[in-house]
Order: sequence, then C-alpha cells, then structure tokens
Amino acid sequence: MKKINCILLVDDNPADNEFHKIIINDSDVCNNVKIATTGNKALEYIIKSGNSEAEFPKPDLIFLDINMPGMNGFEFLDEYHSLDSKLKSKIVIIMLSTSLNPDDAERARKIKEVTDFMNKPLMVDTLKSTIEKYF
Amino acid sequence: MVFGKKISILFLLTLLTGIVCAQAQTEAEELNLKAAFIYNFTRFIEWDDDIFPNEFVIGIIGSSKIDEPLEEIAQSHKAGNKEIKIKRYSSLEEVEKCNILFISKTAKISLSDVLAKGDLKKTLVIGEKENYAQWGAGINFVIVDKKLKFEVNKKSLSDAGLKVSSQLLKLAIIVD
Amino acid sequence: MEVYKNISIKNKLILIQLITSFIAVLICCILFVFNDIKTFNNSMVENKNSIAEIVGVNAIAPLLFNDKDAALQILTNLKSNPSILNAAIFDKDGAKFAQYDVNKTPFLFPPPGDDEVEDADFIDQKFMVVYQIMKDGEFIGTVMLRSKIVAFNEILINYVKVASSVLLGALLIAFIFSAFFQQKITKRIQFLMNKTKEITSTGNYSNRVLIKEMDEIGVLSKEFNNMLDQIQKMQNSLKDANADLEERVKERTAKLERSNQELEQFAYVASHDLQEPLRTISNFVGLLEKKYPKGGEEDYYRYFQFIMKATSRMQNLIRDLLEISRVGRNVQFAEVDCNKIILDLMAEMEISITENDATVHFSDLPTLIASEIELKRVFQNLISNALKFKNKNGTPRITIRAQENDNEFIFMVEDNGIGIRPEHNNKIFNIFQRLHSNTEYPGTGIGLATCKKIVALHNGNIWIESTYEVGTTFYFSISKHITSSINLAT
Repeated sequence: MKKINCILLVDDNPADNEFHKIIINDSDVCNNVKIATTGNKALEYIIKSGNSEAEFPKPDLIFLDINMPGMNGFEFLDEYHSLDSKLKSKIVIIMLSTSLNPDDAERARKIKEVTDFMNKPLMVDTLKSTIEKYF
Repeated sequence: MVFGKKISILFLLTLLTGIVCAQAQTEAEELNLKAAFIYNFTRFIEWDDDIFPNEFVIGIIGSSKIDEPLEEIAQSHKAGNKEIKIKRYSSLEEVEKCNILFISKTAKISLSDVLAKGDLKKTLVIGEKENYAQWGAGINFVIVDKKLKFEVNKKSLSDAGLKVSSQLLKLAIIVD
Repeated sequence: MEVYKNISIKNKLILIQLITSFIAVLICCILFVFNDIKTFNNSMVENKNSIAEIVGVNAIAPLLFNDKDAALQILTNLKSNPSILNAAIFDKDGAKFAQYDVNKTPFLFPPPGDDEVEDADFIDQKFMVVYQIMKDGEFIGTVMLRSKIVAFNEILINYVKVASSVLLGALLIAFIFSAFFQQKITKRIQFLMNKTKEITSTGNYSNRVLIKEMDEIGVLSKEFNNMLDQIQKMQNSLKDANADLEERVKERTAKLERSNQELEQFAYVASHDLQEPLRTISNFVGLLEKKYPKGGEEDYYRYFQFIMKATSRMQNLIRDLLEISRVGRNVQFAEVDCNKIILDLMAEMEISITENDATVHFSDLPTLIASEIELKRVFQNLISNALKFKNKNGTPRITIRAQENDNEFIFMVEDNGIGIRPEHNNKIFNIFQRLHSNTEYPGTGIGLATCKKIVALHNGNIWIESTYEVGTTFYFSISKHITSSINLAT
C-alpha cells in the first residue's frame, strides 16, 4: 500500500473536512493531512510549503472542493496556475463536487493541472484506489 | 102524285124558310156589323162640338132593325166621353140635329132632301144603298166580295166639317 | 313553380303587371261585350217593339172594321225589314186575324195570352215580341213579331276580334310600360344585392349603401347600413378583445414562465443545498455505525441501520430531484444521431446489460435536432427500467425503433418485462410515483417523470402500450418544430 507524505484538503465545510480527515487516517495512505478552508489560505499554504519546513510539508495530493465562498475551486486554479512551477511540480489535484454537475466535470477536464474529478464524500476504498492510481 | 107534290112543296117551303131564315140571320149579322162599324166610325172621326156638347146622337131614318144593336152599343159605350143616344125617325120632318144620321134602305125619302136639310149640315150621313156616297152621303155601306165595306165621300165629309182619320180612309172605298 | 321561383324580380314584376293588365282588360272586355250584347239585344227588342207598336196602331182600324186584307197589307210591308221572319195579328178574342211569313212557311205562333211566351223571348237565335193593341183603354188585339238576331254570330266574332286586339294592344303597352318602370325598383334591389355580395366576398364591412328614396327598399338599405355598422363595431370590439386577450395571455405566460423558472431555480438550489447537510449526517452516522457493529451493544447497530437507510433514501430523492430540475436549464439543441446515442449507451451500460443477460436491438434511427444529453437521458432511463423490471422467466429483450411523420419523430422502446396495468397508465409519469415497494424494485420513481419532462422540452409526448406480464412499449415523440424560447446551438 502506497503512502504519500501530505494531502491538502481545500474545503470550507468543516464537517466534510473532519470526515475526510478521519477517512484518510483510517485508510492510512498518508502521513500528514493539512486543511485550508479558503482558496486563499490554500495558496498561502502552498507557497509556504515551498520553504521545506517540516510544519508545512509540500502536498502531494490536493482534494479541491469546487463550491467555496469567496474564491471557488476554479478561481483557485486560476491563481494556482500562475504559481511557480517548482511549487506545483508533482502535485496531483483532484476536484471534489457535491453534485454530478456535468458542466463542472467538463470544465475540470479542460484544466491541465487537474488530474481527476470525484464526488464527495471520499470513502476509504475510493481513496485507496486513487492513491494506487496516481502514485 | 098529289103526295109527291105535297112533299116537294113542303120541301120547297122548308128550303125557302131556311133561306129566309138564313137570310134573316145574315141580315141580322149584317146589321150588327153595321152598328159596330157606325160606332167605330165615331172613333176615327171628329165632329165640331157645336152640335151637342154633352151627347152624341145617332139618328135612324126608316124602320131598320139596326136600332137594336145600336142601343146595345150605346148602353155599354161612349163616343169619346159623351153618352150615345139613339133616335128613331120615321120621316124627315121628325129629324132633329144629330151627329150621325143613318138612312136605312127602307126609308122612303130621297138623299138630296136629307142633304138639303139645314139641320144636317154638320151631320155624318151614312147610307146603305148603292151610289149614296157618290150622291153626297158621307159614308155608304157596301158589300164587296161578301164582305161589308164602306164608301167614303171626302168632300161631303169635309163640307160637314168632319175630320176623318187617315186610318179610316185607308180602309174605305173613296168615291170622289 | 320551380321555374317561377328563380326568375329575376324584374321579370316577376313585369309578369305580374302583365297578368294584372291582362285580367283587368279581359274583365273589361268581357263586361263590355256582355253589356254591348245586352244593349244590342235591348235595342233590337226595342226596335222590334216599336215596329210591333206601329203595326198594332195601324191594325186598329182593320181590326175594328174587320178588314183582314188591310191588316195583311200592313204585315206585308214588314218585308222591308229583312230581320222580321214572321208576324201575326190576333183579334181581341185571340183568333188569328192576319199572318205574314217571309219565306212562305207559316210559323205556328203561340196563342196570345199564353204565359209561355214572354216579351223578347230568345229562342234559337230568333226572338219574339208581343204587343197588345189598345185604343182608348179598350183591348183591340195582339201583334206578334218573330225576328232573327241579325248576324248574331258575325257580331260576336267581330267583338271577339276587337276584344283580342284590344287585349293584345293593352298587353303590349303594359309590357313596355312595366318594363320601363319596374327598373326603378329592381335596379335598387339589384344594387343592394350586389353590394351584399361584394361585402360578403371581400369581407370589407366598411362599405355603405346610399339611400335616396325612403320606401321599403330605402328602409332596408338603412337597416343594412345599420347592420354593417354593428358588424364593424363587433369586429372592432372583437379585435380589441383579441388584442387585449393576447396581451393578457402574454403577461400570464411571462408570469408563468417567470414563476416556473423561479420554481425550478428553487428546486435546484434547494436540492443542491440540501445535499450538503445530508451528506454530513450520512458521513458521520456511517462512522458511528462502525463503532457499534452488529451483535454489539444494545440496539445501536439497528438504530444506525435505520438512520443510514433513511439518510440514503433521502440522498437519493434529493439527487433525483436535483437531476430532474436540471433538465431544461441549459439546453443546447443540435443535430443528434440517435444511433450513436444508443451505441454510447450500450457501451456505458454494458455491465448492467450483461448482468441481466439482456439484448438491445435498434435499427435505422434518425438524425434530428434535439438536446443530445437529454435525449440520451430518456433512452437511458427507458433501457434501465426495462432491465430493472424484467420478467422473472425470460431474458430481457429491448427493441428500439423510430418512425418519421410530417411534424415529428416517434420513437418506440419495446421490452418484454413485467408490463403495466392499464389503471396505472397515467400515474407512472408522475414524479416519485412508484408501483412497487423499494424491496421489490429499487428506485425513486423519477425516471419516467424525467423522460416526460425532457420529451415535453422537445414539444413531444410520451405514452405507453402495455400488456401485464407480457411487455411494454414506450412511445415518445420529438417535434420537428422547436419553440423559439430554446437556444439553438450552431
């Protein structure tokens, strides 16, 4: 079973974050789980993570919620796109959606930084198979 | 032979009687007819009113049996609106004024005497002997073809002031 | 009578006038002729009476003086009067006095005083006059004259000739006169007739008729104009009402559309926003459930089972509601090849199809203008229903066909599933309407409602033919004419 270092959860919903954290821990696929409740905070974290500080490990996998107030998932990606490529390298971004909106899926597919598109909630088995798939 | 004679005499007598009777009958008829004619004359002749204003007198001279039928007629008829009176005269002297004077053929008088009588100037003189009309009588009865006709002397009539209807004249034998 | 009905008024009028004139003149002629004949007869009688009188007067003297020859002479003078055939004089006793016969054959005069003979008796075109001779009020005798009615026939024929020519002349004049004058009336009637025809054919109710004379036709014209006024008024108020109605309909429709959109928006947003808290419940109850496995403490496991199931059901309902409220939100119409859709579906549903041992057949499906995603959805729902509601015994066999009509395409999806009873025909297309419990067949009952909504979007209809326990055929139509409110993708 592969294990990665850090997963960054970008989601404004604390319940979802709590739950996902539990799922991730239960599936034992990752060492660190970091949470950013807004797009901006996520960007900040990623920038900070470039400093190789232990407290702010660089995320290997980002689960990005689409529906966030202020800056939504897509808007975050716009900003993310202009980040330094060194910061972005090897980061797998998976977008999470609450509804099977085909428009969102379409849109997500077009963004090169996005690797996949999934439905909330994440479950243990889907998480494991995702890790397997992309790492 | 005597019987035969008697019969024939009887026969003859009967015949004669018959003839006489017949004759008498015809004679009576003739008188009736003449009386009727005389009356009818009054309807076609106008007299001057001078003679008698209220009566119409028909005089008869002679013993004619015409008086009977005339009386009958006089009783039931009028001349115009005058009563008819029949007067019998046996002689000329007895004759008075009259409208009509009928001279019977049995009268023993002459016509000229009658005509000369002054009273009779306006009188219609009627006779029943041959030639009376030519001799001056106004009207004269004649038998023509077994029918009773009358001759008329227009002059005499007009002299007497009598106006005669043409209707009457048409039937008459005009002698003047 | 049939012929009479259809001849023109003008000719009817002329005909009536001719007949009237004819009858009038005919009556006049007849009366005239009769009167003339009567007068003629009377004059003849008078004439003969006069002659009889003269004869009688002249016969007075002969009668009184019994002069038969004279009497005969009088009668013989009647020779100069050729119309007198026989004459006789009778004396006052009724015995014949004298007789004259023109053609030597003695006529048997009836005895005078015989009541059979009246004055001026017309027998056999001969007539007899009787004159009683009086003088000074005394009855003298009787004169009888028998004469022929001179040239009666000729006179009659003459009359007829004259009458006929008078009649003809009168008819001719009447004809000319009436032909000329009937115009004055019929022209106006014809004018009115033509005007009416013109108005009804052109539909132009603004025409009016000029009124010159105020007789019945004038009144008719006036009322005609009034009627047209009324018609125009009605037309106008109809137009106004129509326009008004249109306005109101537009308003209502706009309102309804707005309201509809709001509702849809509401359903969408609601279901969307409902999902999130529900998901949270589901998630954490799931975690809790793990903490209290089966056979464990108390009944928590069972409780959590109930909660989970209920939550799950609610999630499904909301998901489906969200889905159906999505239909029509961002529709894009383009050319769609139905064959390709089915092929794609068969690929996507491969697992399900194989699991159920099913076969899907389709042939010659058309290419048409539609919303691809939505149309695909319809087929997907129908196919998945066919698979779900399969017959216990047989293998599901699904056949898809299409038919093109003038205004629409009709699709048929036929299966050999469990069928639908006729009393359920109308219910099945309702939202969340189920005919079975969740334990028998899973599902929320949204599939057919979604199909109905999508089909309605395409101006079509959806209906079924089914035999219980044999199979069902779903029909739906896609209109060729798309309403303008839908966007057409280029």
